[in-house]
Amino acid sequence: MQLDLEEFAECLDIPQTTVERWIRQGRIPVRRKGNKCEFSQSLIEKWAETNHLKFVMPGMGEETEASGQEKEQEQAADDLQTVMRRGGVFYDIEGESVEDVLWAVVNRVPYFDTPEKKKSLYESLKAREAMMSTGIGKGVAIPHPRTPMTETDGPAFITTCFLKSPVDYRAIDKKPVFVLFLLVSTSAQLHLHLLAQLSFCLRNEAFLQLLNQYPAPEELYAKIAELSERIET
Amino acid sequence: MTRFSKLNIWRYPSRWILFRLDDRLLLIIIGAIVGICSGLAAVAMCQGLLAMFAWMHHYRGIWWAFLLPGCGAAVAAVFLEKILKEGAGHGVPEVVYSVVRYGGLMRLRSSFSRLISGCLTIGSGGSAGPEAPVVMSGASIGSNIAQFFSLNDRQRVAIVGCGSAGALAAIFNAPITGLVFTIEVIVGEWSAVNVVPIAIASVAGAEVCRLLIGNQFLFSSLAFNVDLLDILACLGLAVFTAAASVLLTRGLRHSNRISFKLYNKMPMPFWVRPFIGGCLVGLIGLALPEILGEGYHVIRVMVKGAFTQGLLFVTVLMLAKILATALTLGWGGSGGIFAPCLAIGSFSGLVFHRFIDLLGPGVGWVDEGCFALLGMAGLTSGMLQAPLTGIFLIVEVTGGYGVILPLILVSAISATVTHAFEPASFYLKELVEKGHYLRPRTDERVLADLTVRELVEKDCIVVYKNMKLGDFANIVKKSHRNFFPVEDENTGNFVGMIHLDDIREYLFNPILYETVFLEQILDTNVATVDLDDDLTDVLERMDEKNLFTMPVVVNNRFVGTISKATLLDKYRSELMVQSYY
Amino acid sequence: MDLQLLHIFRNTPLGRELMLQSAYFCRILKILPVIYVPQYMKFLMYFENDVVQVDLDGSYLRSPSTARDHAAEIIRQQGLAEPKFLEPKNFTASTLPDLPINFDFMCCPRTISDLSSKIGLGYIGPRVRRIIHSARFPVLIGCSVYKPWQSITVFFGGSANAVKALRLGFRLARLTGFPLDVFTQEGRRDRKYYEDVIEKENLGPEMDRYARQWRVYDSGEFIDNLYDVPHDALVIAGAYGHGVIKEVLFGSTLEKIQTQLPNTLLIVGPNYRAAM
Repeated sequence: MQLDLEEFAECLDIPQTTVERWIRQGRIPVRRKGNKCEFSQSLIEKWAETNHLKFVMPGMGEETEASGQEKEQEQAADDLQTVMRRGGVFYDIEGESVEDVLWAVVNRVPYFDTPEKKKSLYESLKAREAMMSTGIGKGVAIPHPRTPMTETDGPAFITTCFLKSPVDYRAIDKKPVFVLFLLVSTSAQLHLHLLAQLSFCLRNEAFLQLLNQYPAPEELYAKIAELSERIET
Repeated sequence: MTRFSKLNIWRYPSRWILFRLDDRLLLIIIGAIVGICSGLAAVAMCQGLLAMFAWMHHYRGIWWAFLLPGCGAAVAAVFLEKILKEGAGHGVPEVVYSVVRYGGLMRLRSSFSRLISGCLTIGSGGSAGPEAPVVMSGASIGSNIAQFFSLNDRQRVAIVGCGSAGALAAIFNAPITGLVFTIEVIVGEWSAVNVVPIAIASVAGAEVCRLLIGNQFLFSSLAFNVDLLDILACLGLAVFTAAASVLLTRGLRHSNRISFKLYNKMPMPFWVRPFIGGCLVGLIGLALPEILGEGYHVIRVMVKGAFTQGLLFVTVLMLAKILATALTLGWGGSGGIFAPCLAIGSFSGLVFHRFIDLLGPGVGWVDEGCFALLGMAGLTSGMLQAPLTGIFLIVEVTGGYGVILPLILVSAISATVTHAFEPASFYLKELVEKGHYLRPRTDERVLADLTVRELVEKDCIVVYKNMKLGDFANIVKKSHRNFFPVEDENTGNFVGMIHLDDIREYLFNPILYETVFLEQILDTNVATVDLDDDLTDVLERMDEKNLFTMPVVVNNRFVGTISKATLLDKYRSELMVQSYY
Repeated sequence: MDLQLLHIFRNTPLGRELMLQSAYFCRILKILPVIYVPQYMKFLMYFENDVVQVDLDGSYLRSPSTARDHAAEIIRQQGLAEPKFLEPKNFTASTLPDLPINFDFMCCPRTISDLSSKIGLGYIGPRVRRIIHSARFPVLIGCSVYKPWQSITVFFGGSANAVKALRLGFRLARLTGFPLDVFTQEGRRDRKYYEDVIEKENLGPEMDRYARQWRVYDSGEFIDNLYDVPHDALVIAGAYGHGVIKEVLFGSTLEKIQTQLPNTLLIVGPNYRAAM
């Protein structure tokens, strides 16, 4: 089998100079013919394995690239608006205390369908609140699990819940909370990313005013989309 | 293109299907060929020396005979320097150097140059040995055959080993010595891939010698009866031979230094130096003809126990031989250290025997021939710091397997004691000093093979010196590194580095974003690396300044960075790859 | 600016002409000149499968005290940055340095080890030939007097080495912006064959973009046709000898070129590999 030196070096993910030196020194079962490498695939695969290297033929390599692209698409899909759409918007959540409210919210989120899952999410949320309140002021709270819920099968989501009556959430500005954004993400990185975007929106006065009017879901999403664009620029 | 490569396919045996999967068979076949060729070279050297001796014999009695070694050495030097344009030296270090640095690439002219110059030096009476020249020739023959067949470095090193083993095996009629010496001194690694072809080449070389010259021991000895007391005496002998080795090593070095001092002070042609050295040897030879030449004849007499002179005379002989060897080799004569070692060794064995005889006349010491033999082993092991070579050489050239116990003892102790005084053997001293002594699978070896070029990482974000801190803060957000090379945007020259650790406090201060330029905060006093620097140096500099990364800068342009983390990664895979065969 | 050219400096008027040509080449192509000022009569170059010992002509060691200044002056005149001087790190013997070989070009006179009186058309010294044969870089062989070249001529004979030479020609044309001419002498094969080679090697687009003209001669002696090569052209050709004497002689075409053309030559040896 023959490959260009450059391609061959890529297959092993090793600098071309190193491969050339190894061939010259006879440390790799490959023969050089001009700019070409001649080798037996099974032999080189065995060699690579014993040396803790990976040999991926160029044809196979595209596969991993494709999965990389998929991943990128997945990443792109995780913009704020999509994530919020996934979580949905709920109104008139009842409850007198933080715990009551949280339990009510947990019962409305998607992907957590079994009682065990609901229970574990609830415990995790409570644990986070016990550390420090997620009420960030101005009547808004962003409850989230203490650690990213990596074990859930579903994607990340944000569930928006407007409360029937404001609840004392022990927020930093002591104001009672009237809206919750429950944020469940699959990785710490994504968590930070979503949190940063969300808090950017919440710093916007117009957005806060909109929240105070208990907007309809589409209205909310539209505003989010508008603000998200501003983050990008 | 294909038409011609078909014609030339016999020059690329590694492409044959037979040898594609495993090159061992190929190496064995080529090794055997090389063994025969280098054996022939060794036999030629032997015969040449005999002819020279026979021819010179007529002139020995004349008063100006002392000029002969001088003339011989001078002619040898002129031959090497002017006709073949090759530097002087006895050859073995050059072989090791080429094996270590260039996978055993050697010049074609080396395959015969030392044979002729060695013949001239030794044949005319210079005190040197024919073995090193023969080893160099054999190695060079091997290297050139390997080049002809376009073998790779690893295979070529094995074939160079084959050449030297074949040559040594042929000149001593000692196949095991050839194998052991090559592995111990030249190749430096025991591995089945190497040992098998080298062993085959040893056999081929020895067989050539036996066919052409006859199968006999170089110095045949009597059967000795070694007692416990003798073995105890051997401990003393080992220390004594170690002292002689140290004396010889230092003598060689000093005489070399003196000769160069003289050479640099006085304007004279280069051949005058070996001429003076040779003439001095000739003068000593007028009084003590035993020290002239490689000295095998005297050794033969001593091993047989037929040397009659007393303690004082033998001591003088031993010192004279050391001096003569130092004068020949140190002053630019051409030849090896092996034979003088044997001669000095047997003299010192004899000296020691006479000495203990004086101490305990009543004790029934073993025959003095045995001590001569043990002395040889002690000195070879001490000089080469290769105890195995010493042991096998003596066993094979004398057929004295009966004395193997004291032999091992003397060799081992002598090598150890000498090592304490002279940490590197005579052959390798220069290489060690210059950092060329790289044995396979050692740290130095791996670092020497890896180059900065292979390690440099180019995914660094370059910033410009007139950039505002605010813009820089945005770049920092995207980068996954904590250092940034700074370039001049007009000339493209590298001006310095910014390390996040140094500027962290300003980076989070938005007030500074619009007022501070990178030029004001960058570190211009950074140690940089060139693409051609040695990794050992680079690492030393890193350790010195406690750095983990250094920028690679060539001709004022930033090329990339080199970091210890990647180094470890590559180091490991390099070490693994090197151990594969 | 990663590319480097090795120049062995000879501190004589003849060496100056060659240095000027190296400097010009480096300036045009933005290459860093690496200058070796010899301190010993000989040096070694360890190539991949060969070691070449170069025994310099005595004139290389003339007036060592001024050599560096002279070389640096020429480099500066061409507006290049400070030259890089090569200090050999390794020595095979005390007076026998090893020169590294990881350069992208090397500049040689027509002969490096024989007396310079031999320099003339039709003679390329044995050491230079061996360097060309073993090196992975192309070798720039200067003419006796410095003359800035203004165009590039590639000789293309259809062999694998000629393809490499053509690629190198395209690269230089791209870097310099100089016009490129391709010369082909039809031998036993017709024009179609050469076009097929271009097609197969995927060189068509570059041929269209860079080549000013492709002269294919179907008649006349090769030597006579050489008159059409511009006098101020850099000539690029592949060296590939055949058979037993391939170490000694180049292909017959190159031998004819180097006998007839006084131009600066850039010779691509059989072991040439394009720089990364």
